Amino acid sequence: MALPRRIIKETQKLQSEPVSGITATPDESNARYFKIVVVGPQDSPYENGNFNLELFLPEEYPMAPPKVRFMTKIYHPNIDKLGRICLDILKDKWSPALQIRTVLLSIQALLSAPNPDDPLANDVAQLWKQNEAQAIRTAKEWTAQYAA
Amino acid sequence: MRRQEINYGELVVLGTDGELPGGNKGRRRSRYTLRRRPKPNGVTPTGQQTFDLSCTSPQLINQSQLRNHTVTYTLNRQTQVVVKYEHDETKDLFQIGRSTDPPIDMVLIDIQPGASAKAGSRTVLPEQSTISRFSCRIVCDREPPYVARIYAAGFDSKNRIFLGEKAPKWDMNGTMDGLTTNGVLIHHIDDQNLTWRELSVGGSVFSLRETRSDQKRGEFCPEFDNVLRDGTLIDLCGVTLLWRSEKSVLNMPKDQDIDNALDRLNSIRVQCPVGLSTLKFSGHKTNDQRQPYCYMKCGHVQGPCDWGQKLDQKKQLVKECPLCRQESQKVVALVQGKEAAFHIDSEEPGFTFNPCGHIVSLATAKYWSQHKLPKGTQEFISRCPFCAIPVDPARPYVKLICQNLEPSRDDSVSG
Repeated sequence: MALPRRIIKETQKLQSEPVSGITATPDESNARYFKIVVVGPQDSPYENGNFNLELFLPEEYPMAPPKVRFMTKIYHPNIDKLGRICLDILKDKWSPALQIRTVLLSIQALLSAPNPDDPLANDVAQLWKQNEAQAIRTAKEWTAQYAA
Repeated sequence: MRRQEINYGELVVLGTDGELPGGNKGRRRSRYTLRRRPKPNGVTPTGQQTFDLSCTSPQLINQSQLRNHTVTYTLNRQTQVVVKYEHDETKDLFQIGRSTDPPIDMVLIDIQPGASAKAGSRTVLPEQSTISRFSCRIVCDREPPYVARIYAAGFDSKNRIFLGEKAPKWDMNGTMDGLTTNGVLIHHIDDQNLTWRELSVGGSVFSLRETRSDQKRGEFCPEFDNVLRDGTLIDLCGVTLLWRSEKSVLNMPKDQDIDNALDRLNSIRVQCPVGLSTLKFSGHKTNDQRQPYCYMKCGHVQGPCDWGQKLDQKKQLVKECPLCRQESQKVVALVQGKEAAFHIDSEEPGFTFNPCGHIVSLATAKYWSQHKLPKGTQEFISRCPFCAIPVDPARPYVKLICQNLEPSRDDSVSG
């Protein structure tokens, strides 16, 4: 099936005006599949890390949200060990007015502000709430180990 | 040398957008220009005569009036009062009604709300019209300032107006006058109270009857007259007309100005936030991706989008706006109203009547939201002038919120 105009436009714009700290590269054989690299935000435990993600636009996109997953291991209360992300706009708060760009910005923001009250990785969230300093230390260690 | 053509003004049918349902044909048009006639055809009342039918044969009465225009008031089975009209060189007569008989200059049909929007489809005319066959007449002075006066009832093919036993009628200072069955209502724009009043056959103004066809007339309003001014609205029970004076016809927006206003709106290249394509505003609805739609609750403009339909708490079908998530009961295709006579200015059409979707400037939206038109025989409501669909009294028009081609750097969407 031909690629919808909207996906072509989004892809062009992502490359002509990239989001700072994020690169998105469409797969050569599948224009609906993107390799994403998110740079860990400054002053977060993920600083200096390069996190690989995969993003896939399903057939229904943009009526249905893109599927996004962290490929790089990350210690974060809203991201589980399979790399799945707990983000409302990727589920019930999706809207077709959102774009790949806005999704990636939201993921970047999630790295800056982990939300242990709405956890996906329960053990991480628990530690984050009980001993935040320890949790942040672990997150930094993981960043150095897996995302350097 | 050709004599200079003089126009007195124009009558425009409300609820039409350039043509009547079924198209403009011959004397059946949505817009009629009253032009000075090559030869005057005006008439003026010259006196009245009472006939006792028990001793005068009706035939005799008819013969005595054969050459004249007459208005006959039947008081009872025995008595008729006949007001005689004579030719008046200084005036031109124009007649309006449902009849296609030769004396009618502007032939009207009932206007159904929404009929003008269904371009191309065959319009089914109402089985029973409420418009009188000879509904009203307008008499214009042939010399400046070309005063135009309107009267209830028109003369038929035999130059007669006939008011039956049941019509409201009365003698005022020795002159008979009366009202027609469904009445002719007038609404002067300069009237501070924005009130509708009724016109008599003799051209006097009265307050409205208790019901539209009541046999008892309203109060005489000597402070109001039957002179048409720019913007005067005339209701003929089934169709409402707008009078535009010749002066304003010359000054009001032209078709080209209306087109230019649309071009200006299109030139900012409004984007659909979902399809990411440029939308195109036009004078007719299209079925492609460029057709703009408005979410009436929030005013966001987008292309066609099958998303966000759901039942709200009251189990009504609503659509969630992809941009702001507010729920709209109506998502309406936007179409520019083209009839220039209904436009107050030629500013950009950045507003839509709610709920029909005709886009206009703010001044035009405000103007038509202020003026109430008769609905049925008892109610008065504001309507979109281009389609006659009643506007929402709580929110008669909605400001369009458009996304530009170049969104701001922060293009995230609030959740």
